[in-house]
Amino acid sequence: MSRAGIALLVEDNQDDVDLTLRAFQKNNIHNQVVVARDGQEALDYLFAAGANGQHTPAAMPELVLLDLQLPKLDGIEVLRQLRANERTRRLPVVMLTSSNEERDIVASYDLGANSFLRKPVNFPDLVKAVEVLGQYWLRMNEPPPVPNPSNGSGRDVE
Amino acid sequence: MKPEEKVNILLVDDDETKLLALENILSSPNQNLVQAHSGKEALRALLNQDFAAVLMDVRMPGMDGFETAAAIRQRDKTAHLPIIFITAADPSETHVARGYSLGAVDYMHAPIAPEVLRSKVAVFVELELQRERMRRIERREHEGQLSAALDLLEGEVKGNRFFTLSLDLLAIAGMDGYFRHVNPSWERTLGYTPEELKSRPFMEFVHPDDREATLAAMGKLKAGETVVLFENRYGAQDGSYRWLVWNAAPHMEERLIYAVAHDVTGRKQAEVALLAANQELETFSYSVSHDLRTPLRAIDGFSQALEEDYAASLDETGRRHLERIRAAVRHMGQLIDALLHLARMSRMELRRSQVDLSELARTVARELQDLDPRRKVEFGIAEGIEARGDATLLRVVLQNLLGNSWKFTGKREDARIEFGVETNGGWPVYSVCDNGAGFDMKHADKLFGPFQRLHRAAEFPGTGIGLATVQRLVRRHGGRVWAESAPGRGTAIRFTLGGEEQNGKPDDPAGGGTPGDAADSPGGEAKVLDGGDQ
Repeated sequence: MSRAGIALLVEDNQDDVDLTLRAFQKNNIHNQVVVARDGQEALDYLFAAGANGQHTPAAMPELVLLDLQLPKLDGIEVLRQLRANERTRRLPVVMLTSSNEERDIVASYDLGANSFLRKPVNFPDLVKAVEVLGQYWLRMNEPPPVPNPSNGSGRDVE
Repeated sequence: MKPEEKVNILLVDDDETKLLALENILSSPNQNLVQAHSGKEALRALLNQDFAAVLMDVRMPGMDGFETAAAIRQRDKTAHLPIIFITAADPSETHVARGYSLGAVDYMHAPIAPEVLRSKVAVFVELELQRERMRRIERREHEGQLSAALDLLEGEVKGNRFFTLSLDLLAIAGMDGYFRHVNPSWERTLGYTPEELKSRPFMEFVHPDDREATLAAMGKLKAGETVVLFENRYGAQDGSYRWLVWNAAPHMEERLIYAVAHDVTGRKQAEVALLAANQELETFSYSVSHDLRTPLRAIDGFSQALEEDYAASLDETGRRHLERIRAAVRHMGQLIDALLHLARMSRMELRRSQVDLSELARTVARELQDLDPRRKVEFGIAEGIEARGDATLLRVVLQNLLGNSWKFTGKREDARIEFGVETNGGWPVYSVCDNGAGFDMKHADKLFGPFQRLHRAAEFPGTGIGLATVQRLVRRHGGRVWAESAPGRGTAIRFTLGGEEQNGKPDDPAGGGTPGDAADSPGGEAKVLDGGDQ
């Protein structure tokens, strides 16, 4: 039942990274989670350029969890570039952020975000949210075909 | 015949008897007969009065008739005055010839036939009357034209005075896009002289970004439409731009545009500053939203991690401490959310429509009941209360007010909450009353401040933001809110939604209390549902 798709977590706050990973664990979601610390790192990873340029197309994630407030490039800009790129324009992107400002929500959907989730303050709620997220996007949802056909196998980590 | 239509006839004869005879013949209501006994006397009379005709004896001592006639002819005013010579002597050719050459109109030999004389004089009288009428008409026309011309001149002079005095920018422009006249305000405002302004198409002075809109406005004017409250920027000589708001009207026959512009640069700058301040505030609440919540999540998350992963190392007290940390985090999360909500409500655009407050109150009451079905609360919501306001924001007002009443009646078995309206000075005053815990009016001044609470959290939990939100929303409607209460005797919160100011009653909707000094509100009039047994 468990697919091995990678989730890309774009999050600059180490606490949030650790708590999100912990929430994944609590829910027994063992897909590999790749962490990008800012918008540029996220794009570099996804566009197979820059620091993470060595990865193969097979490492294309099945899901991007994207924070809005990020150093260098903010989440909205990352989303814009993802949607403008042939390789990543169909990639499921869930905005996972502290904001519930209407303009952020509107901008995200306008740019083609698949979902918008406000990070709950208390941990049990975060665990619940991550459970639903993982269940839906990494298990139930049918991801778009990877543009460059490959061996299709991901690494099964953490 | 009108009295003014009486003409003068001059009778000149040295013989009193003959003068009387002439008078007898010519006496008539529309003829004023003036006698002269000599040529000199005749000339003197002609100097003083206008005459329709002169009847003159030829033979007179001193100046005879012919000499007198010659003198009369010499004067411009009387050069064409009809003269009828009357004489009994010398009916010779020479006399007649001399008489005619002197411009006599007629020459009558005595004895005069009265009928003939009357009819001859009547002709001259009628002629003179017609001339007089013509003169009068001409005079009137002339006077009319003159006064119209004077009015015009006066209007122009006065108009010019306003033109010069005006603080606003007045201009007359041609349809060709050039100014024809500009008042001195232009130079004061833009620094360009009138000549400079008139020498170039005015479009060149318009900010490039505003030219399209200005062209569109010009199109309207050329089509004969009036342009009202049109805004654009004009370049000043110092390189800056001034915001102008225009009213302009075309005059199609003159092919001219009359335009008045008001310099609103100051207001625009204030607007920009306000916008910047609002954006700053928005940025602030945004970062509050994002940045304050993030560490809270960490505190809560790691507290729980500690509890889960190190439960064995913690005793009961340690676990309780962790639980209290997490409770505090949850509360702070609520505070942040409430603060954000307040900020958002404050900057939300106000859209007024007719709102059924009764229906809104019933909906909110239902929601409250659904959230806590075990509570028994009696609602008394008056029917048909309507108001002009923003439905979304008014809903928040009622949610907070009814929600407060719901909360503060929580300890009563016979809880009752009422929503109603009274009028004061013709303006509606809405009220939410309850028979709940109430509070001491000593603290009423704190009631509407954010995070102000008059009850211990353990007694009645809350963020202390509800009434601050209510006050802000009511004020945004142009209204006021105030409270009346007493411990154990319930609370009445009253509010207006604006409108009373327009009636010149800015501060007196309910006999005094303003939101800031709710403590001074009239306790005597307070309609607070009585706590009864409390």
